[in-house]
Amino acid sequence: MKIKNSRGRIVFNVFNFAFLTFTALLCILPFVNLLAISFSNKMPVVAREVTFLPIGFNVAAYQFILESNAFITALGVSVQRTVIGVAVNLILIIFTAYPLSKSDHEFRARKYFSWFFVVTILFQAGMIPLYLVVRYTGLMNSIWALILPGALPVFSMLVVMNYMRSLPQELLEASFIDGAGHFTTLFYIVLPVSTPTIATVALFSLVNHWNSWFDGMVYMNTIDKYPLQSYLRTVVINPEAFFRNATNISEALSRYLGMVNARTTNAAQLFLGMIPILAIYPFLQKYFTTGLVMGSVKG
Amino acid sequence: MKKGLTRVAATVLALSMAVACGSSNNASTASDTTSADANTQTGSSAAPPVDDGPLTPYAEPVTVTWGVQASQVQQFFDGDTYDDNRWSRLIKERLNIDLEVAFSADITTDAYRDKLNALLAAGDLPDLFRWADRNFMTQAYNAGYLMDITDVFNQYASEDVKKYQTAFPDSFAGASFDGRLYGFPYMNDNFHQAPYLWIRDDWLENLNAEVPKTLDEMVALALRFTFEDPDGNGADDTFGLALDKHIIFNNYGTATGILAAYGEPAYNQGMSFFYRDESGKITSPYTSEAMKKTLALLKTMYDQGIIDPEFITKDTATMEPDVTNGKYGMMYHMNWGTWHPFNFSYQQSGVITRPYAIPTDGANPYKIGIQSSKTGDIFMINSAAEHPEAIIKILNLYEEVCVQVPNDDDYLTYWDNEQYRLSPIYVGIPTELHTQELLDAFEEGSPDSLAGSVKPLYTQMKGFEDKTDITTSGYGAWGQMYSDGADGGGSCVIALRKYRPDGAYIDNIMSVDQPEIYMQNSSVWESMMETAFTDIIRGDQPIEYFDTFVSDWLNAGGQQCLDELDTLYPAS
Amino acid sequence: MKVRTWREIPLYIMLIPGIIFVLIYSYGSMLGVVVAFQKFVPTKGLFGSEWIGFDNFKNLFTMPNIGEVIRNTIVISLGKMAGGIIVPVLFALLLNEIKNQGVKRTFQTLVYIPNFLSWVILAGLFVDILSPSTGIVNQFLGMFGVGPVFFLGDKTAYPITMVVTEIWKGFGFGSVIYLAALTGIDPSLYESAEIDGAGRWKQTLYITLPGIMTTIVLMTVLSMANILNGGFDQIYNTYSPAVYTTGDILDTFVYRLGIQNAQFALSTAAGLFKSVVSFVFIVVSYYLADKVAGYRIY
Repeated sequence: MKIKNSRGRIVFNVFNFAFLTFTALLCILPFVNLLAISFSNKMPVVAREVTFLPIGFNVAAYQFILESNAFITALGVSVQRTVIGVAVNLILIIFTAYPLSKSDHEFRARKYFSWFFVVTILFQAGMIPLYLVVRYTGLMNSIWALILPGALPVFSMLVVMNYMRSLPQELLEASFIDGAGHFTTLFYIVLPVSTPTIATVALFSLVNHWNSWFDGMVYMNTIDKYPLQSYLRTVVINPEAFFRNATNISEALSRYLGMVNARTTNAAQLFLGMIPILAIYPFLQKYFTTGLVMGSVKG
Repeated sequence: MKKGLTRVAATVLALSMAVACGSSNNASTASDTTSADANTQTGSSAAPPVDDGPLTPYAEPVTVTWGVQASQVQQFFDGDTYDDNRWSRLIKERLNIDLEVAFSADITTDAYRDKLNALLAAGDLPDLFRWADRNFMTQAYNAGYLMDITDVFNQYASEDVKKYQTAFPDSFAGASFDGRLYGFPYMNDNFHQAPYLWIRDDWLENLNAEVPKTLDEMVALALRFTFEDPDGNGADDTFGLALDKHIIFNNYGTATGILAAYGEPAYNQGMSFFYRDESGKITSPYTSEAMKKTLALLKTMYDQGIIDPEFITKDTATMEPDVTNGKYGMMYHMNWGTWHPFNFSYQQSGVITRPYAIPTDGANPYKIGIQSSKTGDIFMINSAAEHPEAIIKILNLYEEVCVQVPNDDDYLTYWDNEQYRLSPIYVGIPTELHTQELLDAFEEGSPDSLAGSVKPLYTQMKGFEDKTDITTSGYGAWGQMYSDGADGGGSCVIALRKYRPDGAYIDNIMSVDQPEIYMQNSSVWESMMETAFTDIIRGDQPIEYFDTFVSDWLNAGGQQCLDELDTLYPAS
Repeated sequence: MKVRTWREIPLYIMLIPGIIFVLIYSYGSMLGVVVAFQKFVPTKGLFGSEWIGFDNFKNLFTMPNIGEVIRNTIVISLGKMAGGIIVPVLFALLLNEIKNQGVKRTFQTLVYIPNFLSWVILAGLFVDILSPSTGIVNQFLGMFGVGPVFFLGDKTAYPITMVVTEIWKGFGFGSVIYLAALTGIDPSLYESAEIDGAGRWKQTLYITLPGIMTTIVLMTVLSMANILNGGFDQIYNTYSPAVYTTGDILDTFVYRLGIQNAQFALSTAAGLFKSVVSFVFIVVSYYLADKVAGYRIY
């Protein structure tokens, strides 16, 4: 395709680029501000001088947080929850999506099962009924309370199901002619070509598990079992109060006192809380388009 | 193992309840009396062996589970934690009772309340838990989750602990239903909830200002604190009066002190305070003319810039750093302001913030609302607890160590620096009640006449007076409260020598029994009230909007609530 | 016939785990909605409490500010729905004009970021940067003599802030689907348009937009199901009594009623009301999606 580079076109391109740059900045500058605050000394922060570059650069806020056991514990719970949670989600999604991606001819009960799952999207009970079920199944105060109730994310399952349905049928038929069963076909034929959609729903699961906070607050009985986001939501870290109450402060910690305040440690905590997501998602980004679109529109 | 058992037991119980009540479903007789009966039976059926004294250790270890009101304020020494600390070790050693933390949640945010309500819905309450909400207690009682501890208490409580029943009959009434005891009250004589106007010493001095006696003087001083750079840093970064987003709540940073000056008593969250006015009518102070005047005054102060425009985001937690960093010159607060938050600014910069009797209106006699001594924090025991007597034994132990005080070192180890909070149950702090004794002893110049647990207070009081004790305890904890100094004295002294004799105190009439409509709608009323008041102060609505709020409230069940209270608490 | 059944067995086996979890946690908790018709007493269990018909609903709808709450919910969610369609479409159209793949990818990476962060974190961020006294946004506005605006504390500003920040969070990722639709437009259409002398603007109007119209309609219809979803996470983490009149939504109302005030039955009734309305909207919108855009969920 040839593009005529008329004058108007060039002007448009320049403006368009400028506008998109502005938009992109709008999306990340708040984080840059947060980051700058977290690396700044508390005095310029209090004086509102910090914008996008740290003033009085130091890492005391991070050291302070990373030396606090509570934060690290919560981080550990979140990692554990996310790793197990995503694995459970994926296994269930794949095992459920595959049979449902069959035609009515190959799997006669398909329609009924599809409805069985879809209804749960349409109709959701409130938090108290769910709480009672979690409690009766003995999951309270266990990491499984954060994983099993949402073990099968139905929406993601539908995305994968639609994707599998859009795969060329010849591929599958050939496999059956070779004498392979459903399990073999699923693992050796379907899964390898489903990478984009699996990667996409894996990211959804990851984000969901990492970001959930309400369930942690409600199902966990003690603060040391809170995942990170619940911890961030309920535990207000006030370094000044911390130093007041600490009795045997290590020398390292006491050095921080002059540099950090609630705002810098809060910024550092928030930033630490996003790192895992920021680190992982760009690698999965290339799959979004194929994974999402092929999965959401009926093939 | 224990956990598994409780779970099985609770499930079986829930199932059997479901079956049992399923059969009587048609009769629809499920009423509160049935559940009350169930309570009584559960309590008395746990009949313990007879040869068992108040502090007799168990031969075999027993476990008690409890709920922790966690807080950043809690101090831990020697690597203590909520699970393993000086109290849990003492209790194990002396009584052979294992403490198990069933849940912990932060008490300075909504987390503790949310968790407790969720546990209530599921019936997963621990053996022992503490909460101050009568609505919650009533629901837990109706649901049959509370144990009738009357008999256990009578059998196991030590003589010293039993005496509280006669010393604090109202508190015990507040922990009872139909004359049976369903919890151990945190015994407050609530006079110390009264508001005081706390003012920073250094700012007063810097501006060479007088302590305000009237509201007008208070506003004038607040203006000066706002605009005359009282901290001398050259920046316009101070506010005259601190205000919490709840506006009218307890007395922590709220305007309840102004309402009091205008002659209406109020205390506590939401629209939960009612009293009979002179004509004998049940009244809600939040809908009174005095409230309207209070809002008008706050609006003026807001417009003048005396009140931080960001007050709507301030609560106890967010105000703390502001106070520490010297943002406010004055604040209405209770007796215990000396600990929190003013000892933080003391520690940060050596500034003493003093309480003064609230400035008055001149035209009206001031009235101070306090909670009925029947309401307050209560330690409740789960009806499914296997060893309620173990909990009473812990209480006996607490009484011995921290109230009778056979040993000063123990007292300091187990009580001082908030360590008493690590005991799962404790005798509330009726320490304020010793004010008169302390003042007498101070006059005599000798602490010898004082009870064991009061003696350290004498030392701290003395330390504060002659400025020899600059520790947290001397300033922050107690010294200042009993101070008999020249400026009218510490907060306890003001209460004793001014508020009491002036006849200012008025109890909340609503205590144990709450109207159904109140329990159902109180959260909605609370948001109606806070919204209307915030709007008026910030000028989003004119002051006349107050009348709209009042009629809206009356229509939204307010009138019904007043009527029901009239029946529930008949005029004597 | 026998062979066919035999061959289906592995499919059933695969479904077992999914069915078990959905049965327990989704269907199991659906049973819990019976609480909405009871004077619920926890010890008496789900079926032991007294049945009181629709009394909880009656009480709910006579609550003084329920109308306001429903109105806020709808206003905020409509705002989010409209913005959630328009902004991503515009962004996709503009981004599509960038021909350098590396640049395009960079823009995408940056604008997707907010979508993946929790409202706990973002609320912390917005409370900080939108503060009228210390926030960077008001410092910036101050340079132009505007404000300070109390974004999270002003009744008018609050719902707008909710809509804008929600769009800010989601527009980047929301554009993925339109970008994909754009790549699906037959390039030969543009070529012939160019031969006919049509400029870019005309091409956009007559080829690009119609080309992605099905997707736009589809997304619009599907988003209608969110009519009563004002966004609990976002609002719960940012609101205050000062903005209840315009910011309190059904979900936060239900939360305060249920978890904070222990009115379990009333709160469940409110939740059920929301579910039923959403259900109707979902069914209607999926029906429309099928009719208008030929889309079926399965």
